[in-house]
Order: sequence, then C-alpha cells, then structure tokens
Amino acid sequence: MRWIPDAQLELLTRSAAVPELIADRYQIVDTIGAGGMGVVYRAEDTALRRTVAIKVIDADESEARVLAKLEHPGIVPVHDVGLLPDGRVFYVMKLVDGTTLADFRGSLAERLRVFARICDAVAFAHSRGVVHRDLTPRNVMVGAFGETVVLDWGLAHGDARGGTRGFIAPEGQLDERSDLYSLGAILQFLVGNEATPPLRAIARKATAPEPTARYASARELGEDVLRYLDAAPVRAHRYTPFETARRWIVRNRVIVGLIAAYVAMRVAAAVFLH
Amino acid sequence: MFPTTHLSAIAAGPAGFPRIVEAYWKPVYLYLRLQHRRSPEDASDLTQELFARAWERESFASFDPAKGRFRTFLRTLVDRLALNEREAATRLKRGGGIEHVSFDFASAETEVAQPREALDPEELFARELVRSLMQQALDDLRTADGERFAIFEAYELSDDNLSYADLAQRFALPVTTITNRLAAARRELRRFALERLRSITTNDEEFRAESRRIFGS
Repeated sequence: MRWIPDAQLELLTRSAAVPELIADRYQIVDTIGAGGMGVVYRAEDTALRRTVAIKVIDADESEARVLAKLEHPGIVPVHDVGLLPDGRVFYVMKLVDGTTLADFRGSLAERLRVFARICDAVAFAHSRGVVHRDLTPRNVMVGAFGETVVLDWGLAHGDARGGTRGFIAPEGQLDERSDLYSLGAILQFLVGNEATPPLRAIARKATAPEPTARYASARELGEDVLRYLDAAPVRAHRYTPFETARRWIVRNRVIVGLIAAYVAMRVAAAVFLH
Repeated sequence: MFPTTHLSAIAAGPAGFPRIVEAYWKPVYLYLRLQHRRSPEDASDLTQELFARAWERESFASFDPAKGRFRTFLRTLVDRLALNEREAATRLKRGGGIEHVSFDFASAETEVAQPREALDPEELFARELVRSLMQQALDDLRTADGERFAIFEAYELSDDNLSYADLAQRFALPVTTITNRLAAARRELRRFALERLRSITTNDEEFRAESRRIFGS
C-alpha cells in the first residue's frame, strides 16, 4: 500500500471533491475557498462566457432555491442551483470582486456605512425568513465603490455549521436574534479601538447574552449606527450632559462654526478698535 | 441523497466487524506507535488485542451514535487499553472476528518514520484514518481499471508535473480522452472513499459530518 504524504493527501481529497459539473456549461478553474460549510470554486460559465463562483455543499436543494429568490443589492446573486449526481447541491453565484470585510481598510465613517449596509441586507433576508447563521467579516465582500455584498447564506442547519468562533451567539439555536449577535460582534471588530461610548453601547446591546435584550431587528441596529453617523442620539446609549453638548456641536457644526467665526471677528474688531 | 448500497458496518453487528477492522487497524497501530510511543511489538499486540476484545465483548454494538462519533469512541478504547498496563498484561488470545483480516504490521511500520505534521491526538488519529481510507480507495481504483489508474497516478500522484499533452503522448491517447479519464478517476475515487467511509460510520448524520471533514462538503 502506497504511503500518501500529508500534502498529497490534501491534494487527493481536494481533487476527488471536485464536482462533475454539468460538464457542458461550467468548467471549474480553481478553488477559491474551502471551509466547514463547503467548497467554493472559480468556474467559467461557457454559455454566457463569464467567470462565476460555484459553491458545492451538502445541503437541502430547496434552501438554495429560497436563497436564489433573495434579490437585494447587499446579497450575492444566485444564478443557478442544481443537484450533483452524488447528491450534493451546487449553486452558481456572481463572483464578487473586492476585499473581505476582514481586510477592508477605510475611515471609521466608511466602515460604519458599510456596516449599516450589511444590516440592511440582513434585515431584508430576515423579512423573507432567511437566517444567515454565520455572519463574520470573512463572509462580507466590499467592492471598490464601497458596495457591500453578504455571502454564504445559511444553507445548512445549526449543528452542521456551528458558526465562527468570536462571532457566534452563545445560545445554541441559531435564529434572527443570533444573527444580530454576530452583527454586534462584527461592529466591535470594525470599530476596534476607535470605539466611542455610544458605539460601544450599540455593540454591547447587539451582543447581549440574553437574545431578547438585543435589538429587535437588524434594521433597528443599522438605524442606530446611522444615527451615530449623523451625530444623533443612539438608542442604546444614555448620554452625559457633556456628551450631549458635544454631539450638539458636532451635529450643528456649520452653525457653531459660523457663530464662532462671528464671535472671533467681533472680538478681533473690538480689540483692534480699542 | 447518498448511495445507500454500502450500509454501516457498525450497525450490521458481527457481519460488519471485519470491515471495521480493515479500515481501522492501521490508524490504531500508527496511533499507538506515534501517540503512545509503544514499541512495534507492543503496538501490534495491542492492535490485535483491541479488536479481539471488541469482538468478544461486542463493544462496537454498545456504541451509541447519539453520544458522539465512532472514530472518537474507538480512539477512547485505544487510549484506555494503552494506558491500562495491568489489563494489557493479561492478553486475551486472539480470534473471532479478526481471523480473516490481514494485519500487515511490517508495512505499517514503514509509515511510522514518515514526516508528519504535528497534531493533537484526535487530529492525528483522524488524519491516519483518512490516509488509510484514501489508500484503500486508491487500491479500489487500481483494481477497477488499471489504465485509468495509471493516468490518474501519473497526473495526481507523481511529482513530474505532467501536462495533459504529456499524458496524451505517454498513453498514446487523445487529450480529451485523458481529461475524461481523469475526471472519471476523480469521481470514482470519491465514490470508493465515500463507500468505505459510509461503512465505518453509524448513521447518515455521522457519515455526512465525516465526509464534510474529508472533502470539505
């Protein structure tokens, strides 16, 4: 019996896992990513002559079809769904260009706007009864123009997937509220050590250990972050008078600036004329 | 969803026993050598001991899939046997279900010195099981179609980095035939590996979890 070295063992299993895809239409080019949830290949769609991403997964075909019906700018479009001869499901998706959120570099405001878009996409999916179950920075792609696409929608059930450490809610059952927890963890990740008290409060509320203590929906969470960007009071935070004043100044910075300029001018004039 | 022609050897009771031994004896032996640092003699004795005892006490039948994976259950049995020196001293004479399984300890021993990634015990055992399964699947592939296997071997298992054109020349076949044979070989390899895997898992859930682990899907 031949010895199979570690590296070759990996190549062999990967090679054996390459799907026999509907050979005429899609041709596998290479592997983009592999994880507990399945393998994603880069492939050529020979009919439409474009490059696509094909995910092969051990899941229920009907769920993939539900996913295919989610049409939203923040959700990766699914072009095709099918069953492989060995029973695995494949679905053909748009190949999204860009960087994952894990590698995204932008100002705090840019990151928060991206985050609000993620919340928007998740809220939309929830409204259609689809739960993600594994929201992490790696599952979000940000394009060159800040367009934000959430990938890897929950195609398998809780046990099989288990989520990603650090982003998975503490409760066992994964539902909409646990997606909110993951969103809160993503917010924490994005904000890093630039967190202000209101942002910290938002992330804390979203990641509350008790699911009912979290935001009621992804939309509410996103709206609170947008309020922060507008320097409006966020719901999750109780402000000190000093913070309220500062926020008022930031929010009305044009007026404050004009008043300050006017006062400075008057003072200068007074001093000069004196 | 998956082919059900090869049912679980564990669920099959005594009839499935040789199939389990066939899949597991080498990972067990290597685990005893590498993890428990047993001598070749000790490791081969303990390997046979493990399966002889399991046969006599019908331990595999007592395995409860609700409590975990068979692989982990078996590894626990190995750990217990290896650590319990007193029990190990009173060796049962072998027999029963393992009479018809050939343990090629000498060949397994040649694998002990091969370079390996450092792994924790659970991972080490799992890796050796996957290796053993793939070795058997490769043998199945060779038996099924010698020429197809030779093409696959030249392309996937050698360090020569041959192109399809090189293979076409070597085997005097058109390139399209080469790529077709390669695709078929991959598909078959996967099928053989999954069949063997199915026979050593208890139920659908465990089978899927294990195949996901091996093939990433």
